[in-house]
Amino acid sequence: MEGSLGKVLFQTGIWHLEVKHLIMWGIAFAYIFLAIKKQYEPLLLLPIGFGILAVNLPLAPLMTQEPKGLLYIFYHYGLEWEVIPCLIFLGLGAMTDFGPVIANPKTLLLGAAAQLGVYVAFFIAILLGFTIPEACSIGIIGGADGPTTIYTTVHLAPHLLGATAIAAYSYMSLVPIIQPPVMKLLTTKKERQIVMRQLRPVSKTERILFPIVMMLISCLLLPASAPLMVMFMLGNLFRESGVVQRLSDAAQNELMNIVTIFLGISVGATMSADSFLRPQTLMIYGLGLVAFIFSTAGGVLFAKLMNLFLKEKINPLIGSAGVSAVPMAARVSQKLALEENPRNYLIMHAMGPNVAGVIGTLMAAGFFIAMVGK
Amino acid sequence: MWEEALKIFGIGFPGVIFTLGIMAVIVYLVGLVINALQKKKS
Repeated sequence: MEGSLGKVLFQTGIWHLEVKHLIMWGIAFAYIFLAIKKQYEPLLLLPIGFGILAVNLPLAPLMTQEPKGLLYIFYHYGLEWEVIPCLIFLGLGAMTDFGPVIANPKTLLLGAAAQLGVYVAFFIAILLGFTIPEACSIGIIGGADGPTTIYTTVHLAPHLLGATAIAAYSYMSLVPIIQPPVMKLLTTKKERQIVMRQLRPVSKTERILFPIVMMLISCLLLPASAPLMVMFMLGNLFRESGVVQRLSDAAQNELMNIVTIFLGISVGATMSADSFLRPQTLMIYGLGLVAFIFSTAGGVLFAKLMNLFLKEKINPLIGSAGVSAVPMAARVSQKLALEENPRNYLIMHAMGPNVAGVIGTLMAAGFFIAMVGK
Repeated sequence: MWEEALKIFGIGFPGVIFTLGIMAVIVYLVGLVINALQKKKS
Protein backbone atom coordinates (compact mmCIF):
# COMPACT_ATOMS: atom_id res chain seq x y z
CA MET A 1 0.00 0.00 0.00
CA GLU A 2 2.74 2.41 1.09
CA GLY A 3 4.83 1.39 -1.91
CA SER A 4 1.97 2.10 -4.30
CA LEU A 5 1.30 5.46 -2.67
CA GLY A 6 4.98 6.36 -2.97
CA LYS A 7 4.93 5.34 -6.63
CA VAL A 8 1.90 7.54 -7.33
CA LEU A 9 3.46 10.41 -5.41
CA PHE A 10 6.67 10.06 -7.42
CA GLN A 11 4.68 10.40 -10.63
CA THR A 12 3.16 13.73 -9.63
CA GLY A 13 4.60 17.01 -10.77
CA ILE A 14 4.82 18.22 -7.18
CA TRP A 15 7.50 15.62 -6.41
CA HIS A 16 9.67 16.91 -9.26
CA LEU A 17 9.16 20.58 -8.62
CA GLU A 18 12.46 22.46 -8.32
CA VAL A 19 13.46 26.04 -7.52
CA LYS A 20 14.15 26.72 -11.20
CA HIS A 21 10.50 25.91 -12.02
CA LEU A 22 9.30 28.29 -9.33
CA ILE A 23 11.50 31.07 -10.72
CA MET A 24 10.00 30.52 -14.16
CA TRP A 25 6.52 30.58 -12.64
CA GLY A 26 7.43 33.95 -11.15
CA ILE A 27 8.45 35.20 -14.59
CA ALA A 28 5.24 33.79 -16.09
CA PHE A 29 3.12 35.54 -13.46
CA ALA A 30 5.02 38.78 -14.08
CA TYR A 31 4.13 38.60 -17.79
CA ILE A 32 0.52 37.78 -17.06
CA PHE A 33 0.40 40.65 -14.56
CA LEU A 34 1.96 43.11 -17.02
CA ALA A 35 -0.51 42.02 -19.71
CA ILE A 36 -3.65 42.22 -17.58
CA LYS A 37 -2.90 44.98 -15.12
CA LYS A 38 -0.57 47.24 -17.11
CA GLN A 39 -1.82 46.25 -20.57
CA TYR A 40 1.74 46.01 -22.00
CA GLU A 41 1.36 44.20 -25.33
CA PRO A 42 -1.39 42.02 -23.79
CA LEU A 43 -2.11 40.17 -27.03
CA LEU A 44 1.36 38.66 -26.83
CA LEU A 45 2.40 38.80 -23.21
CA LEU A 46 -0.70 36.96 -21.98
CA PRO A 47 -0.30 33.83 -24.15
CA ILE A 48 3.50 34.00 -23.73
CA GLY A 49 3.15 34.15 -19.94
CA PHE A 50 0.74 31.24 -19.93
CA GLY A 51 3.03 29.29 -22.25
CA ILE A 52 5.93 29.84 -19.83
CA LEU A 53 3.81 28.60 -16.96
CA ALA A 54 2.68 25.53 -18.88
CA VAL A 55 6.11 24.50 -20.13
CA ASN A 56 7.55 24.69 -16.63
CA LEU A 57 5.14 22.16 -15.15
CA PRO A 58 7.33 19.19 -14.26
CA LEU A 59 6.53 15.96 -16.15
CA ALA A 60 3.70 17.56 -18.15
CA PRO A 61 4.12 16.17 -21.69
CA LEU A 62 3.70 19.49 -23.48
CA MET A 63 7.09 20.12 -25.12
CA THR A 64 8.26 16.51 -25.40
CA GLN A 65 9.37 15.35 -28.82
CA GLU A 66 8.51 11.68 -28.23
CA PRO A 67 5.55 11.40 -27.86
CA LYS A 68 4.92 14.77 -29.47
CA GLY A 69 3.56 17.20 -26.88
CA LEU A 70 0.83 19.68 -27.79
CA LEU A 71 3.04 22.76 -27.42
CA TYR A 72 5.85 21.02 -29.28
CA ILE A 73 3.47 20.49 -32.21
CA PHE A 74 2.57 24.21 -32.20
CA TYR A 75 6.26 25.13 -31.94
CA HIS A 76 7.45 22.64 -34.55
CA TYR A 77 4.90 23.37 -37.25
CA GLY A 78 4.38 27.00 -36.36
CA LEU A 79 7.85 28.32 -35.68
CA GLU A 80 10.35 25.72 -36.89
CA TRP A 81 8.46 25.43 -40.17
CA GLU A 82 8.27 29.25 -40.22
CA VAL A 83 4.52 29.25 -40.85
CA ILE A 84 3.57 31.62 -38.02
CA PRO A 85 5.96 34.55 -38.78
CA CYS A 86 4.95 34.41 -42.44
CA LEU A 87 1.23 34.46 -41.64
CA ILE A 88 1.78 37.33 -39.21
CA PHE A 89 3.40 39.23 -42.07
CA LEU A 90 0.36 38.56 -44.27
CA GLY A 91 -1.78 40.25 -41.62
CA LEU A 92 0.71 43.08 -41.15
CA GLY A 93 0.72 43.72 -44.88
CA ALA A 94 -3.06 43.93 -44.90
CA MET A 95 -2.91 46.43 -42.03
CA THR A 96 -0.14 48.63 -43.46
CA ASP A 97 -0.71 51.86 -45.34
CA PHE A 98 2.32 52.46 -47.55
CA GLY A 99 0.94 55.83 -48.69
CA PRO A 100 3.52 57.91 -46.73
CA VAL A 101 6.41 55.91 -48.22
CA ILE A 102 5.04 56.21 -51.75
CA ALA A 103 4.52 59.95 -51.31
CA ASN A 104 8.03 60.42 -49.89
CA PRO A 105 10.29 57.50 -50.96
CA LYS A 106 13.32 59.15 -49.31
CA THR A 107 11.99 57.84 -46.03
CA LEU A 108 12.94 54.33 -47.13
CA LEU A 109 16.54 55.36 -46.46
CA LEU A 110 15.68 56.23 -42.87
CA GLY A 111 14.22 52.74 -42.44
CA ALA A 112 17.58 51.38 -43.65
CA ALA A 113 19.73 53.66 -41.46
CA ALA A 114 17.75 52.68 -38.38
CA GLN A 115 19.17 49.17 -38.74
CA LEU A 116 22.45 50.50 -37.31
CA GLY A 117 21.62 49.06 -33.90
CA VAL A 118 21.26 45.60 -35.43
CA TYR A 119 24.92 45.64 -36.45
CA VAL A 120 26.21 47.36 -33.29
CA ALA A 121 24.52 44.72 -31.12
CA PHE A 122 25.85 42.03 -33.48
CA PHE A 123 29.43 43.16 -32.84
CA ILE A 124 29.00 43.51 -29.09
CA ALA A 125 27.42 40.06 -28.93
CA ILE A 126 30.51 38.60 -30.60
CA LEU A 127 32.72 40.49 -28.12
CA LEU A 128 30.73 38.88 -25.31
CA GLY A 129 31.45 35.42 -26.65
CA PHE A 130 28.35 34.58 -28.67
CA THR A 131 28.83 32.70 -31.95
CA ILE A 132 28.17 34.49 -35.24
CA PRO A 133 24.71 32.91 -35.83
CA GLU A 134 23.75 33.75 -32.23
CA ALA A 135 25.04 37.31 -32.64
CA CYS A 136 22.89 37.73 -35.79
CA SER A 137 19.79 36.57 -33.91
CA ILE A 138 20.54 38.95 -31.05
CA GLY A 139 21.36 41.87 -33.34
CA ILE A 140 18.07 41.60 -35.21
CA ILE A 141 16.24 42.51 -31.96
CA GLY A 142 17.32 46.08 -32.81
CA GLY A 143 15.00 46.01 -35.80
CA ALA A 144 12.10 46.10 -33.32
CA ASP A 145 10.19 43.57 -35.34
CA GLY A 146 8.97 40.51 -33.45
CA PRO A 147 8.14 38.16 -36.34
CA THR A 148 11.42 38.94 -38.13
CA THR A 149 13.35 38.32 -34.91
CA ILE A 150 11.61 34.97 -34.54
CA TYR A 151 12.17 34.09 -38.20
CA THR A 152 15.90 34.91 -38.02
CA THR A 153 16.43 33.15 -34.70
CA VAL A 154 14.67 29.99 -35.84
CA HIS A 155 17.00 29.95 -38.85
CA LEU A 156 20.25 30.76 -37.07
CA ALA A 157 20.06 30.06 -33.33
CA PRO A 158 16.80 28.30 -32.38
CA HIS A 159 18.00 27.67 -28.81
CA LEU A 160 17.84 31.46 -28.20
CA LEU A 161 14.29 31.83 -29.48
CA GLY A 162 12.61 32.45 -26.12
CA ALA A 163 15.11 35.10 -25.02
CA THR A 164 15.30 37.00 -28.33
CA ALA A 165 11.54 36.98 -28.93
CA ILE A 166 10.77 38.16 -25.43
CA ALA A 167 13.47 40.85 -25.61
CA ALA A 168 12.14 42.10 -28.95
CA TYR A 169 8.53 42.32 -27.78
CA SER A 170 9.47 43.76 -24.38
CA TYR A 171 11.53 46.57 -25.88
CA MET A 172 8.90 47.25 -28.54
CA SER A 173 6.47 48.07 -25.77
CA LEU A 174 9.14 50.25 -24.13
CA VAL A 175 9.78 52.38 -27.23
CA PRO A 176 8.10 55.46 -25.68
CA ILE A 177 10.55 55.27 -22.78
CA ILE A 178 13.75 54.30 -24.63
CA GLN A 179 13.60 56.59 -27.66
CA PRO A 180 12.87 60.16 -26.43
CA PRO A 181 16.13 60.72 -24.49
CA VAL A 182 18.20 59.55 -27.47
CA MET A 183 16.19 61.72 -29.88
CA LYS A 184 16.53 64.81 -27.69
CA LEU A 185 20.23 64.20 -27.17
CA LEU A 186 20.96 64.05 -30.89
CA THR A 187 18.81 66.97 -32.10
CA THR A 188 18.69 70.68 -31.45
CA LYS A 189 15.51 72.51 -30.50
CA LYS A 190 15.58 74.21 -33.90
CA GLU A 191 15.76 70.87 -35.71
CA ARG A 192 12.88 69.47 -33.67
CA GLN A 193 10.78 72.47 -34.73
CA ILE A 194 11.14 71.84 -38.47
CA VAL A 195 7.70 71.75 -40.07
CA MET A 196 7.38 69.44 -43.06
CA ARG A 197 5.20 70.09 -46.07
CA GLN A 198 2.02 68.04 -46.31
CA LEU A 199 2.46 64.78 -48.24
CA ARG A 200 1.09 64.59 -51.77
CA PRO A 201 -1.97 62.43 -52.40
CA VAL A 202 -1.15 58.93 -53.65
CA SER A 203 -3.17 57.40 -56.49
CA LYS A 204 -4.74 53.96 -56.31
CA THR A 205 -2.56 52.73 -59.20
CA GLU A 206 0.58 53.62 -57.22
CA ARG A 207 -0.78 51.83 -54.16
CA ILE A 208 -1.49 48.69 -56.17
CA LEU A 209 1.84 48.71 -57.97
CA PHE A 210 3.85 49.32 -54.79
CA PRO A 211 3.60 45.82 -53.22
CA ILE A 212 4.21 44.13 -56.58
CA VAL A 213 7.28 46.23 -57.38
CA MET A 214 8.70 45.98 -53.86
CA MET A 215 8.26 42.24 -53.78
CA LEU A 216 10.02 41.85 -57.13
CA ILE A 217 12.95 44.10 -56.19
CA SER A 218 13.55 42.65 -52.73
CA CYS A 219 13.20 39.00 -53.74
CA LEU A 220 15.40 39.43 -56.80
CA LEU A 221 18.11 41.25 -54.85
CA LEU A 222 17.86 39.17 -51.70
CA PRO A 223 16.03 35.86 -52.18
CA ALA A 224 16.57 34.93 -48.50
CA SER A 225 14.02 37.57 -47.53
CA ALA A 226 11.38 36.12 -49.87
CA PRO A 227 9.12 34.15 -47.50
CA LEU A 228 8.36 37.14 -45.27
CA MET A 229 8.42 39.73 -48.03
CA VAL A 230 6.07 37.78 -50.31
CA MET A 231 3.50 37.38 -47.55
CA PHE A 232 3.88 41.02 -46.42
CA MET A 233 3.29 42.36 -49.90
CA LEU A 234 0.49 39.88 -50.66
CA GLY A 235 -1.35 41.13 -47.58
CA ASN A 236 -0.86 44.71 -48.75
CA LEU A 237 -2.10 43.87 -52.24
CA PHE A 238 -5.25 42.36 -50.69
CA ARG A 239 -5.78 45.70 -48.95
CA GLU A 240 -5.02 48.04 -51.81
CA SER A 241 -6.62 46.12 -54.69
CA GLY A 242 -10.04 46.75 -53.16
CA VAL A 243 -11.48 43.64 -54.82
CA VAL A 244 -10.82 41.09 -52.06
CA GLN A 245 -12.12 42.93 -49.05
CA ARG A 246 -13.04 39.64 -47.36
CA LEU A 247 -9.51 38.30 -47.66
CA SER A 248 -8.06 41.57 -46.45
CA ASP A 249 -10.40 41.58 -43.45
CA ALA A 250 -9.64 37.93 -42.70
CA ALA A 251 -5.88 38.54 -42.85
CA GLN A 252 -6.16 41.60 -40.58
CA ASN A 253 -8.56 40.11 -38.06
CA GLU A 254 -9.42 36.42 -37.83
CA LEU A 255 -6.16 35.04 -39.20
CA MET A 256 -4.02 37.53 -37.30
CA ASN A 257 -5.81 36.73 -34.04
CA ILE A 258 -5.54 32.98 -34.48
CA VAL A 259 -1.87 33.14 -35.44
CA THR A 260 -1.13 35.48 -32.52
CA ILE A 261 -2.48 32.86 -30.11
CA PHE A 262 -0.21 30.17 -31.54
CA LEU A 263 2.73 32.58 -31.72
CA GLY A 264 2.40 33.63 -28.09
CA ILE A 265 2.01 30.18 -26.64
CA SER A 266 4.75 28.70 -28.85
CA VAL A 267 7.24 31.41 -27.86
CA GLY A 268 6.33 30.97 -24.21
CA ALA A 269 6.80 27.22 -24.60
CA THR A 270 10.43 27.71 -25.61
CA MET A 271 11.17 29.24 -22.22
CA SER A 272 11.80 26.19 -20.13
CA ALA A 273 13.86 26.77 -17.00
CA ASP A 274 16.87 24.91 -18.43
CA SER A 275 17.04 27.01 -21.59
CA PHE A 276 16.11 30.37 -20.04
CA LEU A 277 17.82 30.61 -16.65
CA ARG A 278 21.31 31.30 -17.95
CA PRO A 279 23.59 34.37 -17.84
CA GLN A 280 23.24 34.47 -21.64
CA THR A 281 19.60 35.51 -21.30
CA LEU A 282 20.48 38.60 -19.27
CA MET A 283 23.15 39.51 -21.82
CA ILE A 284 20.58 39.18 -24.62
CA TYR A 285 18.24 41.55 -22.78
CA GLY A 286 21.08 44.06 -22.35
CA LEU A 287 22.11 43.78 -25.98
CA GLY A 288 18.52 44.27 -27.09
CA LEU A 289 18.47 47.61 -25.28
CA VAL A 290 21.79 48.62 -26.87
CA ALA A 291 20.41 47.67 -30.28
CA PHE A 292 17.28 49.80 -29.78
CA ILE A 293 19.30 52.83 -28.68
CA PHE A 294 21.67 52.64 -31.64
CA SER A 295 18.85 52.00 -34.12
CA THR A 296 17.11 55.14 -32.87
CA ALA A 297 20.37 57.08 -33.13
CA GLY A 298 21.05 55.70 -36.62
CA GLY A 299 17.71 56.94 -37.94
CA VAL A 300 18.00 60.39 -36.35
CA LEU A 301 21.61 60.93 -37.47
CA PHE A 302 20.86 59.80 -41.01
CA ALA A 303 17.98 62.27 -41.19
CA LYS A 304 20.41 65.01 -40.14
CA LEU A 305 22.86 63.83 -42.79
CA MET A 306 20.12 63.94 -45.43
CA ASN A 307 19.32 67.50 -44.40
CA LEU A 308 22.81 68.55 -45.50
CA PHE A 309 21.81 67.74 -49.09
CA LEU A 310 18.09 68.48 -49.15
CA LYS A 311 16.50 71.78 -50.11
CA GLU A 312 13.36 70.95 -48.16
CA LYS A 313 14.58 69.90 -44.74
CA ILE A 314 13.10 66.94 -42.93
CA ASN A 315 12.49 66.91 -39.21
CA PRO A 316 15.14 64.50 -37.84
CA LEU A 317 12.65 63.28 -35.25
CA ILE A 318 11.04 61.14 -37.95
CA GLY A 319 14.35 59.25 -38.33
CA SER A 320 13.83 57.43 -35.05
CA ALA A 321 10.61 55.96 -36.43
CA GLY A 322 12.83 53.87 -38.71
CA VAL A 323 12.88 51.23 -35.99
CA SER A 324 9.89 49.27 -37.09
CA ALA A 325 7.75 49.21 -33.94
CA VAL A 326 4.63 50.25 -35.88
CA PRO A 327 2.98 52.64 -35.09
CA MET A 328 4.44 53.32 -31.65
CA ALA A 329 7.75 54.73 -32.91
CA ALA A 330 5.90 57.12 -35.23
CA ARG A 331 3.74 58.26 -32.32
CA VAL A 332 6.88 59.01 -30.30
CA SER A 333 8.18 61.26 -33.12
CA GLN A 334 4.82 63.00 -33.20
CA LYS A 335 4.76 63.51 -29.45
CA LEU A 336 8.23 65.06 -29.33
CA ALA A 337 7.46 67.36 -32.27
CA LEU A 338 4.27 68.55 -30.57
CA GLU A 339 6.23 69.33 -27.41
CA GLU A 340 8.33 71.80 -29.41
CA ASN A 341 5.55 73.14 -31.60
CA PRO A 342 1.91 72.32 -30.78
CA ARG A 343 0.96 72.74 -34.44
CA ASN A 344 3.59 70.44 -35.91
CA TYR A 345 1.82 67.20 -36.83
CA LEU A 346 4.51 64.78 -37.95
CA ILE A 347 2.65 61.51 -37.64
CA MET A 348 2.09 60.88 -41.36
CA HIS A 349 5.69 61.84 -42.16
CA ALA A 350 6.91 59.51 -39.42
CA MET A 351 4.80 56.63 -40.73
CA GLY A 352 7.03 56.60 -43.83
CA PRO A 353 10.24 55.58 -42.06
CA ASN A 354 8.18 53.48 -39.67
CA VAL A 355 6.88 51.10 -42.35
CA ALA A 356 10.19 51.40 -44.21
CA GLY A 357 11.81 50.10 -41.02
CA VAL A 358 9.83 46.86 -41.36
CA ILE A 359 11.27 46.41 -44.85
CA GLY A 360 14.74 47.43 -43.60
CA THR A 361 14.68 44.83 -40.83
CA LEU A 362 13.51 42.22 -43.32
CA MET A 363 16.46 43.08 -45.54
CA ALA A 364 18.91 42.95 -42.61
CA ALA A 365 17.50 39.53 -41.67
CA GLY A 366 17.79 38.43 -45.30
CA PHE A 367 21.47 39.41 -45.39
CA PHE A 368 22.15 37.56 -42.13
CA ILE A 369 20.42 34.40 -43.32
CA ALA A 370 22.05 34.57 -46.75
CA MET A 371 25.54 35.00 -45.28
CA VAL A 372 25.36 32.86 -42.15
CA GLY A 373 22.51 30.39 -42.67
CA LYS A 374 23.10 26.82 -43.80
CA MET B 1 35.69 34.88 -36.58
CA TRP B 2 36.28 38.66 -36.61
CA GLU B 3 37.06 38.53 -40.29
CA GLU B 4 33.68 36.90 -40.95
CA ALA B 5 31.92 39.37 -38.64
CA LEU B 6 33.47 42.31 -40.47
CA LYS B 7 32.42 40.78 -43.78
CA ILE B 8 28.84 40.42 -42.54
CA PHE B 9 28.81 44.04 -41.40
CA GLY B 10 30.68 45.36 -44.46
CA ILE B 11 28.26 43.73 -46.87
CA GLY B 12 25.14 43.67 -44.70
CA PHE B 13 24.69 47.24 -43.51
CA PRO B 14 25.64 48.99 -46.76
CA GLY B 15 23.62 46.26 -48.51
CA VAL B 16 20.49 47.19 -46.56
CA ILE B 17 20.98 50.89 -47.35
CA PHE B 18 21.69 50.12 -51.01
CA THR B 19 18.63 47.85 -51.37
CA LEU B 20 16.28 50.36 -49.78
CA GLY B 21 17.95 53.13 -51.81
CA ILE B 22 17.17 51.24 -55.02
CA MET B 23 13.62 50.74 -53.81
CA ALA B 24 13.32 54.47 -53.12
CA VAL B 25 14.52 55.36 -56.61
CA ILE B 26 12.16 52.88 -58.28
CA VAL B 27 9.16 53.95 -56.16
CA TYR B 28 9.94 57.57 -57.06
CA LEU B 29 10.22 56.76 -60.78
CA VAL B 30 7.04 54.67 -60.81
CA GLY B 31 5.20 57.53 -59.10
CA LEU B 32 6.58 59.99 -61.62
CA VAL B 33 5.48 57.89 -64.61
CA ILE B 34 2.02 57.17 -63.22
CA ASN B 35 1.36 60.78 -62.33
CA ALA B 36 2.57 61.95 -65.73
CA LEU B 37 0.29 59.43 -67.47
CA GLN B 38 -2.68 60.45 -65.35
CA LYS B 39 -2.06 64.14 -66.09
CA LYS B 40 -1.90 63.37 -69.80
CA LYS B 41 -5.12 61.38 -69.58
CA SER B 42 -7.01 64.15 -67.83
